[in-house]
Amino acid sequence: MTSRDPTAYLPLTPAAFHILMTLEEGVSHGYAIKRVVEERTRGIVRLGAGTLYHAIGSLAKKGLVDECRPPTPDAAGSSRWRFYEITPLGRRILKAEVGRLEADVAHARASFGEAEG
Amino acid sequence: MNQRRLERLLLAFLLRLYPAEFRAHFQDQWMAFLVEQRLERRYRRRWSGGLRFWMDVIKDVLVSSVRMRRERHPPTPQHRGAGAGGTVLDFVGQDFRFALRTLRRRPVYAGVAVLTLGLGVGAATAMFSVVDGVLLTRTLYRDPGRLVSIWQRIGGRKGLTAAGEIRLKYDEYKAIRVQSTAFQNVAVYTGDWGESTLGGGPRPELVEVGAATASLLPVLGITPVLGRWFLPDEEGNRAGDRARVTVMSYGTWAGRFGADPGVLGTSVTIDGVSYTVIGVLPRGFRLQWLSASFTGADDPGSRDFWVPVGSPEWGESPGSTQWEAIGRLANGATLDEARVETGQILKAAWPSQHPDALIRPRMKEEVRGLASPILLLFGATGLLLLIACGNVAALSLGEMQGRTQEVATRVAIGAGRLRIGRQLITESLVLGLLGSALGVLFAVGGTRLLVAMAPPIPRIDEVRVDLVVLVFAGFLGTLSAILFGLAPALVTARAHMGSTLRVGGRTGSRRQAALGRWVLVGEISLTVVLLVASGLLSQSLVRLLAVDPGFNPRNLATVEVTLPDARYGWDMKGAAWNFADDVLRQMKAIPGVEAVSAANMLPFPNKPSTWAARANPEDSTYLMPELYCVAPGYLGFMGIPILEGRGILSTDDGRAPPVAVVNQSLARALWGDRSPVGRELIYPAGRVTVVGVAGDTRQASLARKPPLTFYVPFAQLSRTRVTFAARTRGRPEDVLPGMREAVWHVDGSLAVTTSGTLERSVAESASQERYRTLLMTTFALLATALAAVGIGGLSARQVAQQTRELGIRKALGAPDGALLGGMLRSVGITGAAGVALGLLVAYGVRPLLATFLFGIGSFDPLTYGGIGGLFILIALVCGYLPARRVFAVDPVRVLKAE
Repeated sequence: MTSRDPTAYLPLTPAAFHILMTLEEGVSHGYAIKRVVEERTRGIVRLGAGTLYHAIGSLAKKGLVDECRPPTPDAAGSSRWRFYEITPLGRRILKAEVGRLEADVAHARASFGEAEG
Repeated sequence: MNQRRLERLLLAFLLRLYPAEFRAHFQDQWMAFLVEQRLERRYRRRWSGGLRFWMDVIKDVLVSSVRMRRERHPPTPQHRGAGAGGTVLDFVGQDFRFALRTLRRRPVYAGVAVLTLGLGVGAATAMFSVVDGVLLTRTLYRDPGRLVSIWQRIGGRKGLTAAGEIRLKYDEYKAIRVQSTAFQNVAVYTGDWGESTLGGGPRPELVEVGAATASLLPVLGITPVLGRWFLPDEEGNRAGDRARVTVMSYGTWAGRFGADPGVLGTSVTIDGVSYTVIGVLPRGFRLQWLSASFTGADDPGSRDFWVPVGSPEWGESPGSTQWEAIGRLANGATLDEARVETGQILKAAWPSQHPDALIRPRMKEEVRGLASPILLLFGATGLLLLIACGNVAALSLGEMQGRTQEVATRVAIGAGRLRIGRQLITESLVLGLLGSALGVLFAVGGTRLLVAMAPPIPRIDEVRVDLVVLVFAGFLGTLSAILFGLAPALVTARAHMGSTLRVGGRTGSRRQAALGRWVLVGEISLTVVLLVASGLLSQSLVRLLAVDPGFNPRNLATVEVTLPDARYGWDMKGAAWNFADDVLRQMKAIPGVEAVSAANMLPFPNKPSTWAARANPEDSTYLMPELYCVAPGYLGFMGIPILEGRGILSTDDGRAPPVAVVNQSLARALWGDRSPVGRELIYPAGRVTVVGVAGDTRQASLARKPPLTFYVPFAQLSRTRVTFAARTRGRPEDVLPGMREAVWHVDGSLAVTTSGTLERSVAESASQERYRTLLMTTFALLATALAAVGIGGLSARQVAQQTRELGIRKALGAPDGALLGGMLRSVGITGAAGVALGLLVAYGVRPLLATFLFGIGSFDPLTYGGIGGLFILIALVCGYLPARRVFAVDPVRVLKAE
């Protein structure tokens, strides 16, 4: 399943993209990821439990995220949650996705420019 | 089942929709996630919050589970893309969209079906919420199945027996508690202290106080939320000042004391006595005073304060059987063992009274008397729902007749039988869901109405539409729609596939029409059953309200005061009577008042005050008559006739020899045909000479036989509860403020309860019956409306289907009248069959109704006949309205179309 060529993984689903972006900032668990994403997107992206864990499951299968230990052993409620971190492969793919999106956005801007100009 | 548990169950169910692999990996995380999410601010509002949460969750589950399954089994290329959609959900979505479109094309059919289902589901759900709240109580008691009520029965070998249960004396309780092995623990309590006055605030307030033993909370298996309950050495006569402690209800603590934990150790003044607050009971704690139900009114069981037995005025007065006992059976002990053993203990201690014990499951007693009327109404709503279902079935049959052409066409162009069946299922399901949704709206409104109109029923204030009730509604609506919408649809679909195209689809099959008619017969018969029930209940209510109570309740205004023992108690010789006398003098001067009198209580709403009484000291058994302590001239004032001797006079004061007046029933019970005047009556307060016989009066309930009663002068037996009554020239309500002022003029520290007018109290005593009758009549009228729609529908279909036949017959010269007669005959036959069947069923189930009737037999020919005739008339009218279209059939156009 794993492949060295990052573009084989693209495009990421919106859920996968947001999860990787959140884990890039640090180790986290499912519900915390949901909260962060919701805050960052001002409530536009609301991940449901099924969607989120489905995405985490497939990201883990592809080796883009990995389960890890809680950041602090005594973090409140940490025993209840399973924590995830982004893998080096995941980081490469996130960067590749950001690059792809940038290219798309640039293209879109250019076409606006043409239309308006 | 509480809401949280139900939500957990629902989540567990939704989880099953995911592939096993996902569940194995993420089950606990998924659950934890949703538990956390449920607490988010946006889901916090009671109704909309829950709804929003579940919509979000279900959407997420559907979307993500479909995606997961699709990943595991990618659709094959030929299925991918346009329209055909690979997953079950796609199919379902398509079906739903199609069903909605079909229904939108038949707005009348869809509207009537949804409204009908909504009414049925709404009524049944509203009634279910009452059943759920009142009968299926969630109790705070630990292991409530082992809790029993302990009563005794005192039986004589010959002659006098007191009917029914007798409460325990404190000594009897102690004997049972010490000696019994069948009980783990026993407690007694009373809720019959009446209203007490809570001092300390700016104005005196009325509170309800109960007294109980230290063993009460251990028996019930409950612990206070704050502080503690009574200790054994705070109970009983020897406790003295130690007993001046009180535990308050959660409601009192939260309301009056602002939920301040610092309330412990402070003191409150109840009836002029200071008590130290030592604890707060858990929220929702109730302990019903079961004896209240003997006089008709059920006690909701909430007391503001509890004090220990024996604190300070709770003496162990001899003969005072004021304690209701509650016991927890020892492990392995049975009801029977407990009864035998308790009986032996009582017999050994009080051999002369031949006592016997009665042990009953406590939880059953708490809903005794409530269950059957509520279940009767629940049954009635069940019938209403069935009628609604019958209507949907009839409608669906009619629709299918109209759609045979469409179905046949679809079969002809290759739609599979399964595909069409699924389509019909989906249509029923959509109808069911819409009907349920409407039903929930009706139920929410209906439940509020039911609660608002309800007479005092314990726990009625806890009735609400919660998740359990909503699930019930959804289940009911969907099931009804599927069973009664789908079954007939399938029958017709099967009968017609393939055959209809050949006959041109103009006439529906005879079998189908017959089926529709049978459904209607069933529907009509159930409606008739409801109408008969409501007819009988209404007549019974009228007769009940027409009963002569034995006194004249007209133009009587009443106010009630409870006097604090400290100043007006038993030992304050004559203080209570002096107070009452002073107040009476003040009241006489109020403009508009013709006459005044006072007693410890009035016959309505009567608070039971039974005393053990007998005619001879040698009698080993005694009767339990009601005792009234009355002002001079009370009997004449009330309009109670004196049949023999004299009434209570002003000369019967504290210094005169003690006297009593007995009512006719008590005279007959104690002395038979002999005259009681001049004889002695013995009761716990002493020996009195009977000076007169008064007429019988109904008390507390118009339906109950007049109880045994005797009257003694207030001046000779002081009570701390006084009810003042004034006979007025004009409206009795107008003098109430003046009467309150008169009380305060004599003692400004008293709280006054305005009972209002005696006439209203008498009318309110029948409030249960009135409620029952009102609901039953409402259900019966709804049923009639539904049945009328059903009959109208049948008739309209007939006309529509036979237009061609009618046209031809008209062309051949048949007069309109004959054609109309033919149409009406079939409606009339259906109606008559339904009515006959309904009357038969009503006759069959009449024992169920008999207990609720007063003054009328459960088989009343006039009611049966009247309702039968009335309903046939309704059927004919409903049949006639659509059938009028016969006149409009134009033979020329029909023939042209041929």
